[in-house]
Amino acid sequence: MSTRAKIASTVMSAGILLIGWLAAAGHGLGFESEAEDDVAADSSTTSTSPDPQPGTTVQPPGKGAGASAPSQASSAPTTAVGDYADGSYTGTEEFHRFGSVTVTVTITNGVISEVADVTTAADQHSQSIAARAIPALRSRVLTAQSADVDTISGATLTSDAYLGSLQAALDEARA
Amino acid sequence: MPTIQLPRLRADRKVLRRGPTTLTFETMGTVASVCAPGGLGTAAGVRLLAEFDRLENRFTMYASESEAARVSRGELTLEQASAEYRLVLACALDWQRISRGAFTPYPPSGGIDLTGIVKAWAIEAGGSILDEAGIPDWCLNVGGDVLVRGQAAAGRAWRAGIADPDDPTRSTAFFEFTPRARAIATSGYSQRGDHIWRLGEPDPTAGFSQVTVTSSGIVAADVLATAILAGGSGTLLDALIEHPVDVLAIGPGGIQHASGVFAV
Repeated sequence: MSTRAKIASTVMSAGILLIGWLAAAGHGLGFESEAEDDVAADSSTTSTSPDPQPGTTVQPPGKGAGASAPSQASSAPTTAVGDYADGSYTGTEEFHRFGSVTVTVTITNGVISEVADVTTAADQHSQSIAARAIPALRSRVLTAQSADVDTISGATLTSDAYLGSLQAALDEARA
Repeated sequence: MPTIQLPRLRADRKVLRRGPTTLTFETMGTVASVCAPGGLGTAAGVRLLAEFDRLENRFTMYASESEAARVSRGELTLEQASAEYRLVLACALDWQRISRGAFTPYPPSGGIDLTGIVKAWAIEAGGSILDEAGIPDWCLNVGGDVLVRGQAAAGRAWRAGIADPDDPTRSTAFFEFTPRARAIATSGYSQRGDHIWRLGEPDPTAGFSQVTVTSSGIVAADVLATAILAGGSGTLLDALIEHPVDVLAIGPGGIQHASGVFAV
């Protein structure tokens, strides 16, 4: 038996787009991975118009008037992926010091099948920095089951603080 | 050549847990957890304990007669110190240069304090012991700095949770180790009572409360995590541009930067 770690949703600050989900939802989220360099290279070469349209969303089929909620990527979604109808959801364009990021999430059969980001930069120099410095969402998702971890990286705990810690629980389960 | 008197091995150093595949023990003011799914032999465990004891005895600043304390107050010159001491100092100075002073073994109060680098140095040494013992897969966590080898299970990479600085019972992000990124280190503000083994005063105005760095080596990860915590977003940018690392930085309001390798 191993400890299940709970994935927390986090409120974003400007320029960071996160999507959180409940591990306990039990939805099978497919594990995909992409080469980091490939995605970064793709992200850095895309450009947008000078006056982007904030709040651009794609209405997925089968959802009513409230469908704009999932595309507000700046909020901390707390509902499971399965509550969203299949389709593509595009978040608002978020601006940061090197340009902007727009995120598109594709849901297929109630599962996140693809996460794509579009990163723009004001100039060539910013583009090369953006490739490394801007958090880019990858279409890489841990399955709910394999979100179990083997070890915890955190600030150094004293021996006393260790005793009630997540690391101690993992060590106990493994011993 | 004057003899250097090392303090006795700590009799009170506790082994918290020992099993066929695991070993958990107190060291350097924190706790070390070792896991070897294929079996952690007795010999490797004993060597690990001895090595951590030896390094702690040499480099602790909390025992006035340790070699490091004596060098720091000038009682021993560098020539009189051990070759190992000079090696660790050279490593720290190298990182001082690379980080342009964001990381330094010279505290403002004077002397030399290598405790900021010794934990990672010891992890590297521990990893060598495990490799030399022929253990193909292992995970070594000392106070939240982790170095791994191989896999957690067949077809499954080692996986780390990044602690939520506000809630020690939760992980705020996840990282999967790769052959190129075998090391992860997290630097955060000391908990009350944790008074050692980090160097560099964090800048409370810099904005980060916790920084996690992954790299091919644990010393690099540890030094850069400390440097970015101390230096803030400017240092973060420098690190991302100048080093093959990935970073997760948490500040007020939550995650402020997350390289793509972290699942959040």
